Amino acid sequence: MPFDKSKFIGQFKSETREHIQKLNQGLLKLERAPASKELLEVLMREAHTIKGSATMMGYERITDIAHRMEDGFEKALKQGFMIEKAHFDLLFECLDTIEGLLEDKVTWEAKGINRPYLEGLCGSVERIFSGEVPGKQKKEVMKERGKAKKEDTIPPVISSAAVETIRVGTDRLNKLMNLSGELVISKIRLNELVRSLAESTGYREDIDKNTTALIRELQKADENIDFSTSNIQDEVMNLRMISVSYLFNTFPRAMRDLAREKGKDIELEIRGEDTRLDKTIIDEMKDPVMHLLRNAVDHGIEEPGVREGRNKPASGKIILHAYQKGSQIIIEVSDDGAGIDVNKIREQAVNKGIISGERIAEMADEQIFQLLFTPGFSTKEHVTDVSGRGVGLDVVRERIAKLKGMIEVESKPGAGTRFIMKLPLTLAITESLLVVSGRETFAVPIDAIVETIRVTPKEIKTVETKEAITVRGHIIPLIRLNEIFGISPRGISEKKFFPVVVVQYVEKRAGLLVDRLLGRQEIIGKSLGKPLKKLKNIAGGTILGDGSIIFILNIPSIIESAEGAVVKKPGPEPARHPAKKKQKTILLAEDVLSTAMLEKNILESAGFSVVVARDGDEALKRVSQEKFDLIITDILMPKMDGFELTERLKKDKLYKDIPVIIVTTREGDADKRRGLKAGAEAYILKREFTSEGLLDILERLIG
Amino acid sequence: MAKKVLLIEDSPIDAAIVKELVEKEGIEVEVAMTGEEGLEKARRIKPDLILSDLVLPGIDGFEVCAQLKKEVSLSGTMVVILSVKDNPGEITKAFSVGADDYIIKAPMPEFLIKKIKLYLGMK
Repeated sequence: MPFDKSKFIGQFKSETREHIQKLNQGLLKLERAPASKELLEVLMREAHTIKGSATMMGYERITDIAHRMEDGFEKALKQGFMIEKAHFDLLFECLDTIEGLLEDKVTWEAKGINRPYLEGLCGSVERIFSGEVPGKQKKEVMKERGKAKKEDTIPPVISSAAVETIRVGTDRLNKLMNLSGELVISKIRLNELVRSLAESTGYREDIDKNTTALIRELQKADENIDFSTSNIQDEVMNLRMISVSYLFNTFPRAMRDLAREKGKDIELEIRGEDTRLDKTIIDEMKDPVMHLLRNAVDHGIEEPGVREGRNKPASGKIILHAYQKGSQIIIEVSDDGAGIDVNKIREQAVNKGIISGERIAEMADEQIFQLLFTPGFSTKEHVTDVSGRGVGLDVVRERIAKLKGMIEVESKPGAGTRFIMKLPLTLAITESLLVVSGRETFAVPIDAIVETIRVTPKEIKTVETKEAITVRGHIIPLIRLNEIFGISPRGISEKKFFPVVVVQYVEKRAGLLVDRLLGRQEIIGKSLGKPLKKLKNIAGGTILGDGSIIFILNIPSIIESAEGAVVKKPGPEPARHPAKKKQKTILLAEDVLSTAMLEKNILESAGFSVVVARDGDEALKRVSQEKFDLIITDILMPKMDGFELTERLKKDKLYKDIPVIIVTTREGDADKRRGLKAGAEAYILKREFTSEGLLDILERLIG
Repeated sequence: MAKKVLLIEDSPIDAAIVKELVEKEGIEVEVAMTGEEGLEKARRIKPDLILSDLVLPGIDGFEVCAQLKKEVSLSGTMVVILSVKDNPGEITKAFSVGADDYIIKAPMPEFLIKKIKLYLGMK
């Protein structure tokens, strides 16, 4: 009877990861309260569960490690000795190794997990718990355990209370969400039909009683559908909402390691971990939040000695706080460290030529802080320092903007810094302003709108061949929506006023000239099918209650194209996009955010335009959407590694001529051969990335 | 009528695997995730065989086994411990509280199925 284990692998991995997370949390607490009996019991049970299912699934290496851990915790519990501070690193290493072993063999062997390493690891764990290491006297420990607090137990990752749960893939949830979106659209359509039916028959006397009764029934049914549909929509939306603890739980462990590495004493306090947020947003927020936390450790919190000199406790505090405010979720990262010196930012911004001395003089402090998020703000010294304050904050902001969120910073020199991220609860529903241009209706997302104004033809100026208007003292580019989409205008010349929607993306503003404003509406955005995916300036589509299909404008791309576009004087012809500057575009496939930002910086300062993809999968997608002159890829990436990416690209007629450079930390010849065999044009080591060598290679390949 | 097995197991993945294996043989499987739930279901559905893990939240497998063995209504029902623990101490303790057999969890399902079929009088 062949038994097919493969269908259980996914479940096994996800459950084991949950147990690992509980063990991580437990160990962190045990490190601070080594006498807790409750904690040891939980740890023992978690290790036992991993051991059990690993055995059933035939993951012997995991069984071996989990077995040593379980035995160890049991001994600590029953024979009563304290696990010493120095030994926690090893226990954490066990967890990392188990997590590594959940990947495929190539991946974990690449991480250095092999037979001798595993034997060494298991041996060390046995030795820790064998009593060879002098621990405290047994009696004393038992006494302390008795005193250990009740609250030292670990909260369950998923509340396993009376509610029965089943696992459902997110792809199925997405499908459900799409369906419920369609249901809502049909409902709105039905509402309108029923209303117009009632209106058109209401004044007529030739309608018989039966028909009137039927219409009344129809109205009632329509109300019921209304009610159920919004309930369904809420519920489905809620299914996608998960607690931010999924995100936050990964940080304490990382912060512990980081603080140790930097020789700093840091306490991470987490607040509001029950706050719920759309899963897509949570997944996307991991890197930005980690980056801010890392910044806080690196540059916020001072060395213990310095802190004492400033009359602060030696141990620095970082607070990670999530809460809901209206329809937004706020995530704050604050520290009680050195703070940011506004004058230094002013100085650097002017030196870097980001902004003129005169302009900076009239900027308020809050605006100055915003400069931290400007691309290219980082100083040269920072380029080599991966998490330098400033480096990568532009990428953090970009990531958050993609989620329709915002980031702000507050800081007081000497007292600390607070980064405030404001995110929408969900990405599915967009509050929009409907506007008309020619015969077309478009939706403008409300969060991109600053204000709506009216302008007269006289107020439209031409600045450097582009049309512009003055709004509250600032000159902003004016974009005629009909020209972007090649729609013929409707009697524009006879009008005295035009409505203009002032939109904003990051700190850039532009005015969109339209024919008419229709009003606000909640719309459920749907992504367009494949043939229309590449449409610039369009973010998606939606179906209105009257059955018409309209497009949702992609404001960032419209504002960007306004920068380069030469807009003609008012005329019926659509505006044409001029040839862009001949800047080469590089696709950078790298999964580690900090490395990606570092490399992006280097390439950008060499004059290239850079697009970052976070794994091979995403890189392939990008390549199909946009033309690249060169691709640089890391080897170790989730989903699809750099070798496979290269092989795939080189096998494809469309892409095989794009040069590929493989970047890696590994110096082995085997990798190099494999990389070149896959078809890569060049292979360089990460440490060589900054050198002239790279620029030479780039010059040779695409110069 | 199909035979019924009650499986008391708190790890969802382990439960899913055993359930799949046993159901393939045309045997019905009811899963309980805690000792308490196991006792309750045993009384209610009167299974033909009970498989229980040892480490369970709340009352553990030893206690479950001991209580099941005290139930008059379940006097004829075999209780088999299914655990990854393989030390003699645990095994001896399981038999001392009345377990009818002790199967060590292993990646060899044939053995488990053979024993279950044997106890259920199936060929």
